[in-house]
Amino acid sequence: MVEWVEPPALRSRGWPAVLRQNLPVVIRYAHYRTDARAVIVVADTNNSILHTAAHTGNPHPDCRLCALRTVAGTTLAQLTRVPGRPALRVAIGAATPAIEAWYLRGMQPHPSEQKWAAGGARGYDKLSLKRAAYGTDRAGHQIMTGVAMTQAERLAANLALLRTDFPGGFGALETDILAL
Amino acid sequence: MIKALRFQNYKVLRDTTLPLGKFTLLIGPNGSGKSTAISAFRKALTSEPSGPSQLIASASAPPGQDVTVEVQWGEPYRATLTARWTANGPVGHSINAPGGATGPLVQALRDELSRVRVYSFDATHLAATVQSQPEMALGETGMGLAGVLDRLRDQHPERFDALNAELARWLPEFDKVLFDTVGPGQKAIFLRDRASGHRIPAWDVSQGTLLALGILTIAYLPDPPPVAGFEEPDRGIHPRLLRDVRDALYRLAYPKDYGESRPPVQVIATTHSPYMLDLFREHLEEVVIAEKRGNEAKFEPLAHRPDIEKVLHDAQLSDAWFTGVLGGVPTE
Repeated sequence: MVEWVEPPALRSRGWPAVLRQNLPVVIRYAHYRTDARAVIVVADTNNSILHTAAHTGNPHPDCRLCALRTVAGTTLAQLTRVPGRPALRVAIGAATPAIEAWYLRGMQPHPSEQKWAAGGARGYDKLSLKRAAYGTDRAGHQIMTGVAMTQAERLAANLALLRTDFPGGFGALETDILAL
Repeated sequence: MIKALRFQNYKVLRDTTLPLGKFTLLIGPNGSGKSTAISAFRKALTSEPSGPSQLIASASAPPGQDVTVEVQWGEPYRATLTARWTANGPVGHSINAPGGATGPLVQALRDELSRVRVYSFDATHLAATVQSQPEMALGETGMGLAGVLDRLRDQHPERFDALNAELARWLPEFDKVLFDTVGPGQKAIFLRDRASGHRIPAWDVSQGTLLALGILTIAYLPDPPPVAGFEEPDRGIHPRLLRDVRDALYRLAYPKDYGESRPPVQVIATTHSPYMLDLFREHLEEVVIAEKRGNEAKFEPLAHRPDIEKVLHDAQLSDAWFTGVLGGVPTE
């Protein structure tokens, strides 16, 4: 069962900060200052390599999902026990090349990890995905939030769409969440 | 659209060109000519100052050389207006265009330049009461805000409502801009506290709130200036709100993307904020670096830097800027 609570006003400032500062701080905050059972993280991969099952147990140095897992694992290992509190869990996903690719699943230009791996043949990049998702690559906060909500509701009804086309980044997230 | 400003022997801008797009963000150290450049539109039109060129000549300019400021238009005008100062004083401006400087063209260029505004808000001016007038415009320091918002409410209520909704999103403690007459013909702004309904006079709200209200007001005007400069629009505003500030400026520059049907405003903004700069990571073509060497400054679009994407890789734009590898930092 999911209990809806007022979300903490967390934001990050780009990949290097997410990895080095934001994620460890958020994990420590969630452990020491909340009763949250888990932290769920999804990062854009940009131009880093796709996450694959082969990385499991053998993290790839250029894979963002692997990097997040490593940082999360290190941070979790450093937490001191809080009496009465179950161990905090972390679920991690990675959207390739950006979260807009997930929003557009089943719509033009049919993004997928397979297409992205095909390089020049894929026919889209981060900015064109934004234009397809929001109608502009300079969307305001309200437009982006509105599209995110609409597409999340659409996709939640059929997660197989994401599982099929984003097996590395979404598949890993789904597996982590189901194990919580 | 104005595609560039070209400077020769003009203050710190000894010999450089500032390329301009629909939106231009200028970064650089203090004294690197950012403000000098965006204030030059008016100088080019009015030939101020009225004295000899020495008053505005670059320190490193050879004695006796003329000072020039060129405003270069792209389509539809493809014209260049050149203002010149000699040792004897300003000689006015000349206009070159492929079809000649016809009367209508000259008028159109002069009209556009006369409507350029460079906003550098002062909180006390934004909060000031105003004598109501039918056609009040927002001053470059924020004077007249109460009158402009009052007119917006009366003549464009849908825009006024949208501005209120946006303000409430930026600053959730307030939910509406109100007005009152505080003296004979004197209008004043009040902000309504969402929780209590209490009216707080503008002169009692924070400076950052007033600065944000000033930017929002321009973004929601039905008839903003064709070219708008913003001196440090991030000033006094929390870093987490800077994305909204950027979006307000984008609303001016890219109106269709924000559901607006009015003509686009050419926006030029300056900043020293790393948080603001980071918001332009996906549009490096909008960032221009002002580089100061000795007593001269030059402009260079960030996107023109060789291998810029390879240099940046995953780094935050602000971090890369701070290291100095992009230039636009104080000399040591």
